[in-house]
Amino acid sequence: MLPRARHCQSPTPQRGAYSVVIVAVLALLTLLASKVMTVATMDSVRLTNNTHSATESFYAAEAALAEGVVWLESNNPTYSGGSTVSSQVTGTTVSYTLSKAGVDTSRSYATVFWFEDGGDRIRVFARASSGDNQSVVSTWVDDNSPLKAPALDTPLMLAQCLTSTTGSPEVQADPGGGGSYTTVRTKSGCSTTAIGTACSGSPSSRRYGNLNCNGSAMSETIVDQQDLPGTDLWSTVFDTTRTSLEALHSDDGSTGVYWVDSSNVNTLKSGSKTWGSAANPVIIVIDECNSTGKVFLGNNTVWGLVFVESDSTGSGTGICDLNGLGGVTINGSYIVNGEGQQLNANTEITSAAIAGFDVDDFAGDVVLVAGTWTDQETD
Amino acid sequence: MAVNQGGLSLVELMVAIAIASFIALAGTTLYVTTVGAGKELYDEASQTEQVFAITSALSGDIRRAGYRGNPTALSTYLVTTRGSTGVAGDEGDYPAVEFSTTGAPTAAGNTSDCVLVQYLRKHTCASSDEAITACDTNTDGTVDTVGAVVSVHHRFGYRLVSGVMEGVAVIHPSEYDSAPSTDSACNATGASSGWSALTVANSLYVDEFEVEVLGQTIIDADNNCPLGVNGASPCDSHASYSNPLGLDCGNTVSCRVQRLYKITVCAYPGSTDGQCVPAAGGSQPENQIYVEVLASPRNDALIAKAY
Repeated sequence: MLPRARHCQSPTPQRGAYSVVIVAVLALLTLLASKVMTVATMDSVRLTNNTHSATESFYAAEAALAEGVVWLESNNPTYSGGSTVSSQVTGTTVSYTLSKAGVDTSRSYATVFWFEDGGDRIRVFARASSGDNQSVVSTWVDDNSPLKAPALDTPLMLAQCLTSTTGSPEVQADPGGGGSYTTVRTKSGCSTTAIGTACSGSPSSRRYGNLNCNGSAMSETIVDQQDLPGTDLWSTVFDTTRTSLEALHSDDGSTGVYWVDSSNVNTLKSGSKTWGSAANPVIIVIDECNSTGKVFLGNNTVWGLVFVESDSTGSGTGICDLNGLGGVTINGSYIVNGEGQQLNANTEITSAAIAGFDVDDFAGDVVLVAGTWTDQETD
Repeated sequence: MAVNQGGLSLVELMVAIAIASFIALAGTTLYVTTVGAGKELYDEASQTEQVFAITSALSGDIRRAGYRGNPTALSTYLVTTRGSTGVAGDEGDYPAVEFSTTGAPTAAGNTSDCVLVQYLRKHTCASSDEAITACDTNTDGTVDTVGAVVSVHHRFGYRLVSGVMEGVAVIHPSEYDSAPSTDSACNATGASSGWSALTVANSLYVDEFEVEVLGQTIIDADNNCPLGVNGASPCDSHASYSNPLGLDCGNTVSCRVQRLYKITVCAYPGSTDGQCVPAAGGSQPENQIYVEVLASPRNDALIAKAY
């Protein structure tokens, strides 16, 4: 009897090869499947992240744009723009915190804003950036002056009549001469006797309407009498309400608006001073002349507009004694919302056109110009 | 010499095959399940992305709506585009946002499943652009300068047709000397239609697409005085507005209108109409995607008073 074959009795090192191969193939297939799922998930996550980042930078740029507008509003009295584009101003860094699976991730966007001078209007640019991801937005803004154009047309304007003058107050209207101009505007029907009827001299002297010039011949009309729209001159002069303008005032002049009444007149009238400048004219509202001890600006220099209320209701029908204006120099407009008496000697009122500014030079709200906002993808 | 070449016994082989088969079956099942889950995830992401892309693009277009260029171009916009036939509430030839092609949304018709958004963009004149007025300013039938960059109003449209979202992006028809060959109106069909699908019909059924005006604020553009809110014809009747601040705004000549829009999209895989259920609703179709987005133009709409 032959012994049984040895190979049937003892296993060899090759046994189980099938299982190893199968397991290896299965592992490979599983890896491939996992890879498919991972790629799909990663694509989705990457897409979402890219979109998220673009949205982040866009809103960061919007925040910078808003900051630029506020900056412009705050710096309006000193911002001189330039013929082209201003240097960039660093804005506040905008940060976002994302929470994913309980882990907070912070991302920050550096922001800058700058301006392009467009004459009466200014274009505000803003950019937010983080690495390669950035957004730029821009809009045009308008300096919404609280004054209407007629406010500076006439250096001396009264809602009622100018009934008397003392000495020879000078009112200068037209910088160029040779054309029509208005030196004093009152309501119709007022006597011009107190203002002075006619002045002699060459055109260059005549165009500086020297009031009460002792009856000498004056060939050019300096007094315009017309019925202004409404007795109250406020809406003729201002493009805002009394309440809104009063809310803008500050006693330190930082807002370019002074609102003088019995509560602060003693503080403001102390000493001789210069109010505003040609580059930064101011608005002074005297509310009202009889409660503030007449008109207190004597021996002061004013660059801007002075609006004097004649009564507490703003009716434009009260009477103001202007005797306190002696020695004052006003570059701009002096407006009495009522009747003016005793315009003082040595008062000099020179129009804004001569002084070199207009309504757009007054500080006011910065408003966005509709239809001018855009982003870098569009423009 | 046949040493150490002994194979497996039949029993051993059967057991090995059984175990291997079991592992193979489990592995195959795992593979199929994994691949299937991956595909399902990919499909859902694709469907979500289709809806997200539409709402994102439309939100961006609404945000840019009404861009008219620099203030110089702006100052003549209403005058040059409105003409003597202007009616109350008219926004000129290029209303910022239109529902259908009949003009800006009104109080009576403040929802639509077709929206057209207009704003200024730069365009590089090609030799075939002789019909675009800005490229052929002397209308001699030849483009002034090929390669010149001009600013023209573009139209971007979105509409829902038979469960598929469609879009169009063209230069506004009013920028042409004559009717352009591509029809971008809300009701455009046939070969001349410029509309193309934005969603895949077999993948996603868009059951609802709606753009709605949620509200509008009207401001006197002459002095930035708020006029309050009124009905169908903004800026037409100054006296009828309820001034929120009680201010006297004076005589209104032109107005700015700030509008807020809501975009709603509801979609799900399938082909059956009318199954959409709002997010807070009851039984929803499987994998329904319901999106509500608010969007407001950064540019106020300009409207001239009727004259």
